[in-house]
Amino acid sequence: MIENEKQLVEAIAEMREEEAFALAKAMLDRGEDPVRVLELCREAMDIVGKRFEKQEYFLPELVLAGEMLENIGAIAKPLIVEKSGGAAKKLGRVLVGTVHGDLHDIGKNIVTFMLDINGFEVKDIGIDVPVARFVEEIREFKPSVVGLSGFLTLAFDSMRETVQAIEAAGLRRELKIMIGGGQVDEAVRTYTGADAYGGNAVAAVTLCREWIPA
Amino acid sequence: MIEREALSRPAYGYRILPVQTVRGDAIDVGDTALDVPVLAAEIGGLKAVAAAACTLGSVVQERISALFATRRRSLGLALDTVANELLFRLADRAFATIRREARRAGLGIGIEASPGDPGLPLDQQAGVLALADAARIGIHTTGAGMLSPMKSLSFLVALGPNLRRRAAQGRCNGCPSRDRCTVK
Repeated sequence: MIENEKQLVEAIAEMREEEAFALAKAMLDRGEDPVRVLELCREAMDIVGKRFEKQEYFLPELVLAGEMLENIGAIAKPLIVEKSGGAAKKLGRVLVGTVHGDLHDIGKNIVTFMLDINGFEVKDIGIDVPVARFVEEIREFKPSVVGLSGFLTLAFDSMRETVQAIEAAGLRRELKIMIGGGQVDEAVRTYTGADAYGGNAVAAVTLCREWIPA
Repeated sequence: MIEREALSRPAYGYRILPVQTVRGDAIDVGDTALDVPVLAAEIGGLKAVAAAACTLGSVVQERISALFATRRRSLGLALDTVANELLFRLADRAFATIRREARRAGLGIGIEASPGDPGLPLDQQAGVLALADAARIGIHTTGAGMLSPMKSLSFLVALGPNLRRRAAQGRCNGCPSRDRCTVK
């Protein structure tokens, strides 16, 4: 990695927002490859994710790093489109929603954001989503992964009903289902019939990367 | 930001009510029967219960959602964190008021629990809000047991002449999500 690339990765990983944006802009203005700039951003994001897992960083750092990626992406992606004649290819589709009866959305919003900046095509269908709507959206959007979010214990039954409805609709085998939120753990995962649970947004990205090969 | 935009409209209410009977895991308070094993089990005798509800109002949550919708997530997250802290401080104030009143009545303070905590099922939320007369300050429960406005909370406190609050009996100590909690 050459020096200015190292500087960009470090600036993002160390939360130096203005410096990171200035470096990225300078690289792009010099005609450097926008795809490479986004790769460097994702490398920095991986560092941030690892620090989050080690509890050196917390949610604010994760979100701020994501925003840096988003802002740099806003100037890099149009250049990719220009060069390649089309939008950058997405890694795969993920459908996310908070299950019926639950109105919490912050965790879901952060997961959606992290998946998006990590290159997935994400559709967020909101909060208090009825079972039938999940099924309908899966038929239309054809995701590889479905993320069910819920903060309260009441969400466990809603998650289970949603998974059962997806099975009954004959759609279960075509996708992976992950659950997340408040008190979700392995016992809840088993109860709901999901494939995995994520304790945080980084875990959600890791699961999607495992399930949707690049 | 909270002050400038008048986002927080804090209010709390509580009532202290005598416990008529303790029947296994249930307690009878006025016309209300609550399934609350954690209070029913209070060693030392449960004589009364304080039911409290606190809220910041709906505006702050609307602002948080709007910030996320307009991609200002860092600010939305920061506002959410501050709002949660304000709500817990408001609950502390309500608890302190309850404690003073209980003391004047010769009652000791026992365990505190919120619907959804171990020993106080979430489906008891409506009963707790009714006891606290939470509707008076604009708090109600959705059909699924969630509080509205979202930045609200409710709790019960066991009261009795022989009850003593145990050391390190913080609000969070019994919570199964404590290790992963990003709120507290």
